[in-house]
Amino acid sequence: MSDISWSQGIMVSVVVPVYSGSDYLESLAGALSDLRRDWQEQEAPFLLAEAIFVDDAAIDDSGAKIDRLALQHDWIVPLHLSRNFGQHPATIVGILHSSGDWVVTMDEDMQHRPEVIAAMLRKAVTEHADIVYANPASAVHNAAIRDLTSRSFKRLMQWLTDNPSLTSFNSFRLIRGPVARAAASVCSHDTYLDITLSWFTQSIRAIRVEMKDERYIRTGRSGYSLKSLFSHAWRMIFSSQIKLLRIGAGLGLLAMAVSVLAALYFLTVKLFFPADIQVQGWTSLFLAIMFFGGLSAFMLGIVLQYLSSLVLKVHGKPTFFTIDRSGDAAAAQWFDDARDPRP
Amino acid sequence: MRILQVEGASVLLFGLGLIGSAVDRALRLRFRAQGCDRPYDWHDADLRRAQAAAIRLALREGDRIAVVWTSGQSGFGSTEADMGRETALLAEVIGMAETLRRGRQVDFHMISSAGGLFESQTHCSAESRPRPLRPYGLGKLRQEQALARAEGLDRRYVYRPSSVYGATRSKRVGLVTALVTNALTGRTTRIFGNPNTLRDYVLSDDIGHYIAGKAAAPDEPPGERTFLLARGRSASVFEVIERVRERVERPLLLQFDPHPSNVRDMSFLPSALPRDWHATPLVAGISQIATMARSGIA
Repeated sequence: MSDISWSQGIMVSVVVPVYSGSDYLESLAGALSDLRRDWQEQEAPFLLAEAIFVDDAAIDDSGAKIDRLALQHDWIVPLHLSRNFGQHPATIVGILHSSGDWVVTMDEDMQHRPEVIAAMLRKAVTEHADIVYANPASAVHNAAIRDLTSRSFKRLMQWLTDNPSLTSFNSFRLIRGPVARAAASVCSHDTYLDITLSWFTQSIRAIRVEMKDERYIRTGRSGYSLKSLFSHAWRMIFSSQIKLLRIGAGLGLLAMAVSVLAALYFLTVKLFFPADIQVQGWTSLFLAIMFFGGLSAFMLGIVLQYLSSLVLKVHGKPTFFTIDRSGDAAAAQWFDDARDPRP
Repeated sequence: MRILQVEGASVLLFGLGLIGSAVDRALRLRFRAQGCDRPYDWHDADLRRAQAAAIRLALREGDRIAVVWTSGQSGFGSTEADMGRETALLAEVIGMAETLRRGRQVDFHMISSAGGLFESQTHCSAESRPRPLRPYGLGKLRQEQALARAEGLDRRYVYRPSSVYGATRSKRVGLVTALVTNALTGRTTRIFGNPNTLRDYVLSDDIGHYIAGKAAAPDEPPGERTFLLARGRSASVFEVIERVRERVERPLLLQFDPHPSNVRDMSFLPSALPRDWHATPLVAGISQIATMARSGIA
């Protein structure tokens, strides 16, 4: 049971989707409990108010362990999903059950260390950020190909979607509560949470911290299978307005323009220098194909843009969203005043 | 008021608003209760005394009595005077319940308000203490204290529901029902919070079933108990709007109050809720309200 009393300050909720974390849950709960106590001892203006463990139909005995931990700590909230829905849906459920001013999402396997949360909070309140991602300072998996593939894919997606924060995306995030819950409320099963978050805010920052996927390094096994990584990638593409559509429409328009200019040129040649045209009919056929091909590509691009806008509307992309960042000042002041806020 | 006869007990139901009618429905559905209405005038004290005497005479001898008080008329905007009047009426009903206890068990079930008592508190646990911020909450606290003092009664149960919604024809329907019915009729919903305001929405029928069970078939020995009736999962106004939009599939016309008086967050940890309490998920509740609204019930 909770042995900590507090006056109502800034509340922090932690959301942990759990799939195969039985070996780590007790250490994670212990680390979160230590953080709670640390903040209390430091008289910090914020409190780790709840930790929501979402059992995503875990393949080990995580579900039972979560229930046991919830009996020991009244601030641990156990949630059990009826089947395995995947990491993003599990995170979304957890966020929707949270009520903190800030929501931290993190993995189950201690790759994300709870003590980093203070640094993320500091970054958020001092820079009025709505989201702070913790990014690895060095390779996470100690597996060059895996890390390189991950980085390259993110860069490609950043270019395709024009989303400047995409390379920072990480499951260890600190999100302003209202933004987190609003984004989670509009997410469907196919939306990528971080893309949805960026519909609600552009104030996104990242900090570099040391993190290692010990499970992968030790066993070569990861919480993510290749299939789930592909599913992640697909969801990211599906949730974004892909630049390729605009590029396709632009190329179509360009082809049309070139065909019209070329038609004018070759018509002039035909009228004034007919002897220069060696093969009759080929030019007009080529230009007609180019014009109508370009027209088709352009029209298809427009239709796909419309479709994309409709899909985004269905996915819940908001027209506007208001936010109140006035509470940041007090916490920022505390960080300024505190000589040694851990870590 | 309404007297409902169940096996071995008479339930005296004071107030047939959102929660009262849900208790009534649950007693009829689950306990095959037979009911009859009795006049009880809230405005005329002399008349009320005579009516109370008539109610006493109408009760079956030897039956256990369960008095259920669901007739609070007050809201967040109520003044101290409003709350004083309501508390005085409650005290009368408590007094009446005490006079009924002659050789039989008399239980009292009172609806309080988690919203009034815990306004601006989030992550409330079983240990959280009420810190009311306005006359409404203070009044509710006084009402709870009034019941606590009535030691002549057997079971003194206080229920603290959070933000209640449900199908009703009364004016006070709650945000969810207002959004659903207004969307279906093309009217504008005025919202007195902001989109980020967090509330724990709970369906009136869940409360009705819970109280009906405790009143008709109590499973604990006599004593004093307080039950927090919430879902343990708060939702922002924004989320409620999105969920209603999905279910109703009509445009929602909204007007947010530029100077909202009711913006403080509230949330409750699941560990603070009774173990035998089951709350309907928000999406299911909204679907239920939408179905009822479409069929003209809400």
